[in-house]
Amino acid sequence: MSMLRFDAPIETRADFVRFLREMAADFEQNPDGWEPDGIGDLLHRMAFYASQPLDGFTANMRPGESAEQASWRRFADIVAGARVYE
Amino acid sequence: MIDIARRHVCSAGAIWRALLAAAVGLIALVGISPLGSEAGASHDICDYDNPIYDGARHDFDDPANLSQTSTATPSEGRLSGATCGIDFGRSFGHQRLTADFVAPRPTSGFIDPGDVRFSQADASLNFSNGGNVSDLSAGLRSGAIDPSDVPPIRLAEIDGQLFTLDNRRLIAFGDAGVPVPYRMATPDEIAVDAFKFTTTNGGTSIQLRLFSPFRYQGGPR
Repeated sequence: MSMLRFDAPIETRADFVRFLREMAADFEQNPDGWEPDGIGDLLHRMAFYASQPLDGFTANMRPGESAEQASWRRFADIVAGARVYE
Repeated sequence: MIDIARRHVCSAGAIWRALLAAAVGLIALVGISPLGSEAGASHDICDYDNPIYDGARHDFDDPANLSQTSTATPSEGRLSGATCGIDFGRSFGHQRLTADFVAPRPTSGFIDPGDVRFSQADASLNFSNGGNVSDLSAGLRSGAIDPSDVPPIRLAEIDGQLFTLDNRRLIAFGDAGVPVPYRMATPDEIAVDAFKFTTTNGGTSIQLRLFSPFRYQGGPR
């Protein structure tokens, strides 16, 4: 299973490392599939996604969980969200 | 009841008026404020509404449904093709659904933009590869842009409702009143783009960001 999927199991630090490595590989192979324009834009988008959009995503896709609760999965949600959010 | 009156249809003309207003420094008048700086603050100019609605599509807006909990199972949902097996528990707007994700229909073609829901709560005016929603809408209306030349929006069918993974193109085609080319998304595409499902109203409307929210100053709400 791709670690970029929303339902990928990212529970440990090792999982998160795998996720980041797959993100990096995806950027090298599929840069057109990324919304951010550069590392600065990616960071801005991460900050944005971590605010209101994360609330909506969590409510829709992770019912019963809280966007306030930090976890390796939540960190990955923010990075992955920043990659695709229009 | 459907409260159409409270909705503000953001036509291309409205977009351009807002852009012009911004250009002459009337930002404060149209309500732009740093995202999340205060409760109730908004970075959005206007709500975009799909121009064509039917009653069913507004179920999420019906106050009678606000406190309603709806649970569906794969056997209850409208299946068209194999299920992805994704635990797609979600609460698009006010209803919390727990049905398995329904695989996209293996079809493509053109569809009325009003028949498709938005996945995101908001979207940027600008495309990542250049251009913007307003330009695309104007080009479609004038005929300068052939709809067939625009990449099809990808659709996901969830509990019988169609959601787009490509919100900006849907906004443009809806604004232009032109049927939008589409194809059903693959299960992998849906799973990777699931982070776009931030809508809080069942995808019946979307807020269009005229300026990049990625430059805002301030922390989470």
